[in-house]
Amino acid sequence: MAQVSVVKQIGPSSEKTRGAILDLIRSSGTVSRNELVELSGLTGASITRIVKALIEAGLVIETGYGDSTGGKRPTLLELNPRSRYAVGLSLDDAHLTYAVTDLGGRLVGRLVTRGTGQEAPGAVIERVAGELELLLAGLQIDRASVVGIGVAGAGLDIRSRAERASLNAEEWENFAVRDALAASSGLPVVRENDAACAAIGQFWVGRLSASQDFATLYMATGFGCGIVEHGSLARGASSNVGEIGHMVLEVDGPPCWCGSRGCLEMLAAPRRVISDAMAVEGLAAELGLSGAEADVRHDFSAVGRAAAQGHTACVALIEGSARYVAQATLSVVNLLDLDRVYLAGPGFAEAGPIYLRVIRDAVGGLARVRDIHRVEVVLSDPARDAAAVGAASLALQQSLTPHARVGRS
Amino acid sequence: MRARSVSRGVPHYGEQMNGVGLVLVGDVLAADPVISALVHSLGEAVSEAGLPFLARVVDDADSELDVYHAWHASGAPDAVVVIPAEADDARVALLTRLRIPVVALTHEEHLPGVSAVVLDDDAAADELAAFLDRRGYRDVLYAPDGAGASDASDLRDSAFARLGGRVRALDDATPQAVARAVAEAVAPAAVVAADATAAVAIIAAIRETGRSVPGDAGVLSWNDSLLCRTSDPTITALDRRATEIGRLLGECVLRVTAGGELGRLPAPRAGVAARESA
Ligand SMILES: [Zn+2]
Repeated sequence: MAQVSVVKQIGPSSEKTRGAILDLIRSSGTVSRNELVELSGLTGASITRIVKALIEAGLVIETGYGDSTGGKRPTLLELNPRSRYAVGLSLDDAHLTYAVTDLGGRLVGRLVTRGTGQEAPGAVIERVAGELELLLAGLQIDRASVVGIGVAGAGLDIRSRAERASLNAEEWENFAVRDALAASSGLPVVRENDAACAAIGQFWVGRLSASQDFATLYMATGFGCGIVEHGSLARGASSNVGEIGHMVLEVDGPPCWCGSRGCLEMLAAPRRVISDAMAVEGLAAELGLSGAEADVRHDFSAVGRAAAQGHTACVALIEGSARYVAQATLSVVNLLDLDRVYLAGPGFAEAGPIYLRVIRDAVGGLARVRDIHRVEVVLSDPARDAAAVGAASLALQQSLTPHARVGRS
Repeated sequence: MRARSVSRGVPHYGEQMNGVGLVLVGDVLAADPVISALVHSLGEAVSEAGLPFLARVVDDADSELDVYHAWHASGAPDAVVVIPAEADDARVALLTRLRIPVVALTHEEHLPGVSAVVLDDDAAADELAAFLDRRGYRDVLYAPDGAGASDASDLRDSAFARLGGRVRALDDATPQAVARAVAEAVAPAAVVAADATAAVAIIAAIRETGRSVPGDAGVLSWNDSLLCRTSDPTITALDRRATEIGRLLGECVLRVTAGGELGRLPAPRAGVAARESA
């Protein structure tokens, strides 16, 4: 894996190196000090010193002996997975999902609570502080062993322009989630949009090779796109890569709240599907749709479920949305020459297979590179909590390899 | 998903583990799509009613009991869900002793007096047997390999009992060995693979021997999953109705936490989701 290049890039000293060596041990399974010397390019003395510190911190344990290559048999090192934990939190309209992983990335618990709904951001963060208590108590995890919290939430990262005061429910985008949660929890907090988190989760637990590029298209109430290139999350100038919901697909299309017209979100998001569904005679009554803003996700699940069972009108509604999503995906594939796209998020929970079929048809039939290589479109299991698990991975990654990025090798 | 129309208000958190708890042994959330779907919909049902839902993963059965003791010591949860629970289940016994309300996923004859969603494995086995009969499969091979192999063995045994002498469990369940067994079987044969991943590999191996699926041999998956619905060909599977069972468990547990009376709800019947592979 490309962690090798990380160590070479960041040089022989500092906490970064410690994090990189820890990550090297994690990705190796078991490894000897000599192998670490080879893999990292550091001196034997440096490795001995770093490993000693990692063992003292309880992060690494000695697990036995490797094969002798002449002389003394080498001691094998392994990550001590239960020494530290990371929390991932997915902030979503419908549910808050917390995932806790150990240092090795294994899920040790998940908590699901009421969604953000119409609650003001400040009130949600206050509630999250209580729910974190509950989560750690229920898992018997000492707060001191939590390396940090990763938060997956929709919207932009607006950094210093963020408001610190509580706003109303529509104003998540202006709220300083990270600062507020760091203050209330006393833990380091890292925030990314849910699509980016889902992508990082895919990379971290999916055993993908670091050279593989892919995108994760995420659908909840809106859309996002996380892009991983050479094992690293694309971030852009302000950490706001992947606003695929505002890719313009109809230049004279309906106006979007972002100021543009004909954005993917206006044409294909759950809200649009439901407004179209309400216009189909008798459908609202048949499926029990309310059509109310607060019930969009609930209504969308009902339409998706009916479509999955072959309900003609609902299949047409979902396919209508899927065609736009497919065109957007095709553009991303063409732009970045990807060979793999994941579909993730609660929006794909019911009608995911229909989206998958329409997107596969478009990408398979129309990708510019279709005669050169296959482009795989894969539906992630929505029950896997991609965003929350990814957010926990993000928190782990930040603490294991602070400030280091896996670069091009 | 009507999170906004909930009227229970913000739950109060103290030191105690309130809400609804569930303990899972081993990596089942990642390995078993049936459990994963069930836990997901159970969590949705509980959280949408305003109660937190905590699922904790432990390494072994002893640790599971330790967790219940710890939860009890720190202020017990409102209820605990046990899936699946057997006759004389030690976990249910412990929880009852600790006076923690329990909702179990179990069978009719087990755990009388415990609130439960009740599975009817015989009916599920009948569905599978009837499907294989309708399709005219003469030889049925079971390839016990993959995540599904260890779970729901009751159901599997009873399904096989109903298929009489026609079902053979293969000792070697590698795709190549299964393909060889298909070649030697009475045509048309059906293969029941332990899960979708195994089914995909077995279909490929059978096709490599020059036989067609489902023409020469049908392949079914013991577990339904996303992969069954999205692979090429799509895979016929036993649909154990995990999402609906999760929702029902949620309803049951909410009734219990609201102080309602004990109840036993029948689980929706498993059935065969017929797709392209059989
Ligand atoms: Zn827009």
